[in-house]
Amino acid sequence: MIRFKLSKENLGDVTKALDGREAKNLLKTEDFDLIITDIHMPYHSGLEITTFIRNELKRSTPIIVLSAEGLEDTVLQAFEVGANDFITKPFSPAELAVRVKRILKKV
Amino acid sequence: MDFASHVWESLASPERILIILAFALLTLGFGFIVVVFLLRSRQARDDARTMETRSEIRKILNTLLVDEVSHSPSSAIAFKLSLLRKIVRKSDFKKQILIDQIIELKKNLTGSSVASLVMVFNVMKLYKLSLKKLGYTAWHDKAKGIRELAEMQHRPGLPLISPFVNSNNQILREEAILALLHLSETNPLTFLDSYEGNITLWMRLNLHRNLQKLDVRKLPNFSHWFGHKNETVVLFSLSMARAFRQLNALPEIVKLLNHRSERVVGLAVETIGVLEADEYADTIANLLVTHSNNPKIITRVIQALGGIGSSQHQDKISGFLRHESYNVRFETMRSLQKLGLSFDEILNDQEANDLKQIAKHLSEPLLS
Repeated sequence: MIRFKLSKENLGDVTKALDGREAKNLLKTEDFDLIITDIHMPYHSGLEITTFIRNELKRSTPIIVLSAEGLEDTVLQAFEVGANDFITKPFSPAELAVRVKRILKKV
Repeated sequence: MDFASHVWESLASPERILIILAFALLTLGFGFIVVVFLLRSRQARDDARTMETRSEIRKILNTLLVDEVSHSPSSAIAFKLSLLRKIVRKSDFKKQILIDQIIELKKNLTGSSVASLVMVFNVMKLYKLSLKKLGYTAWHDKAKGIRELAEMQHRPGLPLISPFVNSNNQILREEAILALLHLSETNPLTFLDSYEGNITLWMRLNLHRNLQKLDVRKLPNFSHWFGHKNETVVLFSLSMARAFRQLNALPEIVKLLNHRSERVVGLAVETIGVLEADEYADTIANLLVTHSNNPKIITRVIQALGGIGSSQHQDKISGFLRHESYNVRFETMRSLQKLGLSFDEILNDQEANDLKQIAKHLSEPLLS
């Protein structure tokens, strides 16, 4: 649904990874303009992926973390490891699109 | 064949039986493998069909959500709905897949997207399948139906859900109660009036969690149920009055200090303390006499007096420094400290080592 919404907003091509392992493999071979990740995923969590992007790949790609877990600790941890934004589920697709545009500075 | 029959005839009877048995077992085993294989193939086919249906439905739902119903022409919406109808047709199995997808999406989204999902549920009359489940034999089907109707805010289903509040099945009771909380527009707790079951801790936590989402002004006055014959309802109402700080319920809470149940009395005392009703400090202090044989109630009273009592209660409490129950002695020390006495003053003529140990525990700076 997110991919569909972002495509509809003409924000470019959207690549989807089914789990943390696939995400890591994709990140090793491709450079993206923006990453949207959930926290809880099979193999690697969203926080691990964020840490991987910042510390190992040394990329400054904007990262939005999307999670049902809106605890203060989780949010702070996401920002500490390098996320640019945090959206708690349930979320509005329209709001997500606006945040993505803002981050990509296409508004 | 001649050779085979010659060999067969040369065999003794037991050997023939063994061979026949072995052959029969082999045939059975082979047949079993074939049956398992066929069943698994059918299962795999069904799973693939389910995945395909789910994928088709998801694509159409995504377009509905993303295009936003409010901004789309009605012809576009009607077209998408017709596509969904074409997929599900009259199949309850496919309708169930659609319902599951709608609910899964609804849990993750807010705003106009949710309105779109509810619209699909109503316009396609998917609630009929959920209502149908309420009449199924299996309790888990009924529970699923209740949950779907609650999740999709289908208020007309309320009269059919209400009877399950007093079901023998605990899970059904809990689902029905939670559904009433979601669906009831006026007082969502009216079911308590005639509730006969046990309000478990799980139910209490969930009810509390859902009540917290309501506008505080719409919360009922929980003292309404203080006189209920079901003790768990009284306990629940009392704990909610405490949680939501309903100070206007205090006069009724005080009446509960005479309740037949020790648990209710204890919770009433605790509630008076938590609500900081110091005007009732003397009232609860009297319980130290009337319930002198009940260490649990004494502990609660002493704890409460530590918060709402005054120096005039010190003498009443200090008599419990020599109580046989360790908890009573501990709480007595703590409350006396809260009421302004130092440990030296408390331990004045007390030589008991355990009291000194309690004082040391309470004054441990690492624990403060």
